[in-house]
Amino acid sequence: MGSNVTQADYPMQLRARYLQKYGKRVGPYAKSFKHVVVDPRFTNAAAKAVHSGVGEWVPLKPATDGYFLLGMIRWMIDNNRYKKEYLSIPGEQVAKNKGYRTWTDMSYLVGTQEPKKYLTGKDAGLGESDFVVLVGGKPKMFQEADGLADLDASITINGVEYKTVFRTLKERAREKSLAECEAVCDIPAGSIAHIADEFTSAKHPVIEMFRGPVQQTNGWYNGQALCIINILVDNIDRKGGYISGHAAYKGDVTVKGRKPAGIRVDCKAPYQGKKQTSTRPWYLPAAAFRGVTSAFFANVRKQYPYRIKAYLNYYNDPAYTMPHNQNVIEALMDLNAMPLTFSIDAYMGETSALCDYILPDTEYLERLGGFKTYPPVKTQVWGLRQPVVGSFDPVTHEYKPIRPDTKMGDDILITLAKECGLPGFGKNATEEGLEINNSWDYWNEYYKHKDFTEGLDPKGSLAKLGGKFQNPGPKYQYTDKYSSGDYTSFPGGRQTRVLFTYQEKIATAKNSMTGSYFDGLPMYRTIVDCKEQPLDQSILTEYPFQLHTYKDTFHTQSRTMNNLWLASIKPQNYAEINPADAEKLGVNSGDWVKVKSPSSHQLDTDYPNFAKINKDCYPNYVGEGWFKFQIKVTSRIRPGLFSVCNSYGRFGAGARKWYMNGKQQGHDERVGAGFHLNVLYMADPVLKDIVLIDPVGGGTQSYGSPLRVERI
Amino acid sequence: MSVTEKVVDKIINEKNISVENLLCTKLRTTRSGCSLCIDTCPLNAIRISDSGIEISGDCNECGACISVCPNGAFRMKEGGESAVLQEIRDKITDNNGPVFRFSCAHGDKKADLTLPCLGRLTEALLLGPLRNGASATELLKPDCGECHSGKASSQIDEVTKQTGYLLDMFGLDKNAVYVKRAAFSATPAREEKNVSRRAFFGSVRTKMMGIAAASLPDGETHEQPVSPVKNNKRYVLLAVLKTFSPAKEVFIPSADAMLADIEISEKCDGCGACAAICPVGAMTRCDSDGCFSLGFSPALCTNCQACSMVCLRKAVSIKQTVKLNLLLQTGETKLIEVKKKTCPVCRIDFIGGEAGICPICINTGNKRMAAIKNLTKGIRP
Amino acid sequence: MSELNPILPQEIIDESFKKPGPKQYTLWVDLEYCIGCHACSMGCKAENNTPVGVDFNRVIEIEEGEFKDPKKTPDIGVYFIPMPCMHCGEPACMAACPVGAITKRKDDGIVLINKDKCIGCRYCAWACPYGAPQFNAEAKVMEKCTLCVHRIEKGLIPACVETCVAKTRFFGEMNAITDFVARQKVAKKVSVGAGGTKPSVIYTK
Repeated sequence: MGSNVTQADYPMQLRARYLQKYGKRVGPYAKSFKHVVVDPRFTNAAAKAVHSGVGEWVPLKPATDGYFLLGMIRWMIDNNRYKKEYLSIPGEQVAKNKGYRTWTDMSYLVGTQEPKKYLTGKDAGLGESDFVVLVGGKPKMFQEADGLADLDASITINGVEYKTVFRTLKERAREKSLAECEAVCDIPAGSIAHIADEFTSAKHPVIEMFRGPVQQTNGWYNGQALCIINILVDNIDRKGGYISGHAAYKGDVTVKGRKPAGIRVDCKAPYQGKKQTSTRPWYLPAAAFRGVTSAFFANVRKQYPYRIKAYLNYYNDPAYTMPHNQNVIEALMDLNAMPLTFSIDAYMGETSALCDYILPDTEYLERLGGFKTYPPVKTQVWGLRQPVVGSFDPVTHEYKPIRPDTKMGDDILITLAKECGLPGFGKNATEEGLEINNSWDYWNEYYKHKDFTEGLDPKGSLAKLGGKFQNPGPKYQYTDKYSSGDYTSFPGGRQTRVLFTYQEKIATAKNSMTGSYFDGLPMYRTIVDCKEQPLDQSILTEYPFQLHTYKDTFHTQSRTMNNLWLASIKPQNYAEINPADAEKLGVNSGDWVKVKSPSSHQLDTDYPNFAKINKDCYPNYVGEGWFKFQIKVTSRIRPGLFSVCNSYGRFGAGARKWYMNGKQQGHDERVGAGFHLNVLYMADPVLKDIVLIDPVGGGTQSYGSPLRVERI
Repeated sequence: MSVTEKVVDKIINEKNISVENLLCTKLRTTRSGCSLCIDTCPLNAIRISDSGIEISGDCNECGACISVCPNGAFRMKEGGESAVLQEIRDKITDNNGPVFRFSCAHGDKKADLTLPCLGRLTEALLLGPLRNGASATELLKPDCGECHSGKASSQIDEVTKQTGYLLDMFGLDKNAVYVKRAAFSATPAREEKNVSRRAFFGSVRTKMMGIAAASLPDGETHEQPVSPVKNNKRYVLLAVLKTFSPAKEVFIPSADAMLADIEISEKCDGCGACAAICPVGAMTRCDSDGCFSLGFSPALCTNCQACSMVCLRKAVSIKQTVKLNLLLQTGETKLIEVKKKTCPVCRIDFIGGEAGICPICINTGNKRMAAIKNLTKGIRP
Repeated sequence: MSELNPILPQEIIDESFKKPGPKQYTLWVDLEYCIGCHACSMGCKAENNTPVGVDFNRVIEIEEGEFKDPKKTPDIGVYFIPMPCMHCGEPACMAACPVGAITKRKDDGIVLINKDKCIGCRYCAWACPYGAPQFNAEAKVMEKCTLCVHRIEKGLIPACVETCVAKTRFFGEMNAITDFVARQKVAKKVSVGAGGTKPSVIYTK
């Protein structure tokens, strides 16, 4: 679902190989594998799924994932196609006795009155316990139940009704009929039942996702629903099942007194205002793990919750990559909102071009450090990085780059930190009293702790591995010794654990804009605004098309077009539409159309600074919110969509003419060929100055923004 | 061959005739069937292969190849066109006779100038005496059938005929150059020269050193970049023609002419193959001001027809008759000048084509799709 | 990852290379495996350092069928066809070249363009049914896939084969692969084109 395993870039290629192995001609499961791709676009993965005639493509309407997933849950519950015994396990001991390694909260009781918390042993008058289950209709602390608990049950204690999570889920799923779901998803009648039937009949069913279902205003709940489906068929941590990865080896630098303080500008914090409700959304730290960058720039522009003094941009190019990037450009050009800006960049990116100071970074082959990987990599890994060009000073370990006036990003940051007198850098930086003056010092220390011991000793095994494509050591590899029957096991993998389908942390938190509680279970919802209201029907009528984006399989990032080799594969993108829409509009491939979003007319009025350079960034802007696009007609896109591939239409990175110290610098227009549509994202109807964002998880509504398309 | 063998071979077989591969039409394009030199060489000493023109040891330096090759691919190292013309001029002052007589080694020993074979004569050489005041050029030709170089006889007739055309153009008597029968003398005439031992060995040494150096393997250095090599033979002829003044226009059938008049039709797609292949630099390509153009210098054209043979679009045509006077024209004529467009697919400039896309992209696209259709047929159930 | 390297046993290839006499080195592309990721094209560009627009290897995407009504189950297909030079038995490019710059090597059947001889007239591009010869506008000469002859001569496999993410390309001797494909049952050979040039690259579906 919303995941393209045929993407050429890391980490998908690993999965692509396994897909081939299971789906195709080799291995014990050859040809018995069925791959169903749920995606508005007929991706390469979908092409491979249907290639053998076994798989399927379900062209879901964007932003309706919640209906599809909850519809599947409904069918599974209605037809008893879930693992009843597994879901009824109350705790670890029972799970062990019955040969399971995981168990769930499905039999745990949850209150029906807000805030809807799990019933605790204390509340039930039973004793110390976080959860209570019903056994034969009688409440029991979960750890005391020695057999299976009641799954679909409820009880009233002290006048409050408590239902098992399973019953709450069942009631939620039954709020809509399958026909209603299929109508919303705009897929053939019977699709959900058919997919759910096949799914639950399979020996090893699994439903997987990448960013597709979660980068939406209902993203948090979509992700939750998808995980619940996997829980219902008991495939978590099982071989051939759903495995959460993303474990990494860790080092550490233990420092004195370095701790972040204050409130983040993106409002990833519990709401701290004095009024009952906030004027701009605050996001739950428990759900918005990585922060909400889209909200950051919108807030900075409005100086909410406070005016920032300085901005340092590193490893990021929001002026190009951010949906609704007009906020970023406007904020960067507004001296009042962003009085001082810096950018650390290896080239003149869109964002850097708008910053006050640019600190030139080194090339990508001149980095020191390490990184963990993406969730699709299931085993515990760590990427080690060291420069393959340039050199280190043997005494100070200062890095000498290959280009004049450049400095390793880390070195710049450490120098800045030292100048600012921040703790944890310079003399006596660490608890052991070591100096941290540069990148080498930092990473050398990092690689001495936790999973690592040797530091960056050039003779040590870690340093020897750097810069080579080599397996980081047989001792970390999966072997028989980790084998555990039907369950997966590998270093860093999960062991015995409970799986929560109900999210108490969410259910007990409030939407800062409305003051009402969020829901602990997935909801039937498509696009909602920051107050969790659906979009106005009149907007959908006036703007009948939906925006859709995707990434070409060969572009790892949306800004990789500055590798011009990729232009050799595809020199430019087009706006892709379905033949049915092309007929309605009376256009053919190669024709031009104009398109606007419900909020794009604000570009002329609400973004005075951006308006000055709009034409330079977007030569296809024709005014009053309209943009010109060249059309490609293809059946690979479902009807009703206006699909534009990311990575094209760059206006920085040397794609257009640019000047430094009054001198024109080299540029290549091939970098900026094609179209870019981030400015066309619809603004939140309530706030009007920010893209639609998931009020729970903070994900941007990446697909399905309403658009109006007209023939020129 | 080892290096030593190569050196020895070169010393023994070193000929006075050198070759310029770049001027050879046959070597410039595989489309050309030109075999004039091979057909004319009386001793079958010429071979043309991928590695170039080779002259075997059988060569007796008669010089027929120099005369027959319109592109001047063969050259005398000593006694080239200019040297012979100089000799003619010298001889005329000596004799001061109205008729200048050429003879071959087997002919009349009293001739003004004796060459190893009359097949060596070119148009420029035949015109040489006339421009220096002689009233006629007489070729004292014995019975070539008795000579081992007899095959070159036809070339004598051809050159005489071509010279006749030129004379006509200048309003001169066509028959001012004519062949006269002479008796065949079995012992070839040879000029005896007294050379001192010192001079002899000195010259041998110089020659050997040069050859040895040339025979050494290239080592790391590869072929020099192609620099335009001039058709000296034609340039000498043009210089000789300059001393005459034209009197009338002469049209001759193209098949019989030493130059061609060329036309380019609108089918031209600007590939530039004609210009790239033209051995003598008569066709040139120019890409400037967003235009593609082809220039033509008729005076340099040798009617080798490589351009028309090579053209894929059949856009180069050679006119049926050619005005001989074009030989006297200096400079280039523009045959075609077309504004270039840039193909949105391959991003390469092109001319012609009906759509906005270059014809090659359209052609390649169609062909490739046809090829692929076969592959995907029947995959979808 | 060797277990994932699907069907072609290396011994068969090694054996065929040892056989005396003229051979035809070539590629085998299994279309069922190709995921259209274009990694081969990028591997090729990195290895041969070709400029933008000059691609020795391309992956063509073919769309079949039409999907217009979301209320009906879609029936469309997209196929990914990697297109290197076919190193034909009777190369049309070679016949078309007016200057004899294209040759087919006797020992291994690799078709090569001699850039020193090439005049950049692009006749080979007109003649080739597969779009293999490419015009290098900077050097003004034609270039094309060399089957990574510089790697092969060092005992390596072509860069595209090395890079293939889905392990769907193989390098080997044409007859050995043809025999192998005929013997096993999982992949069916399909012929590319009808250009009459005897393309050597083997496609299976």
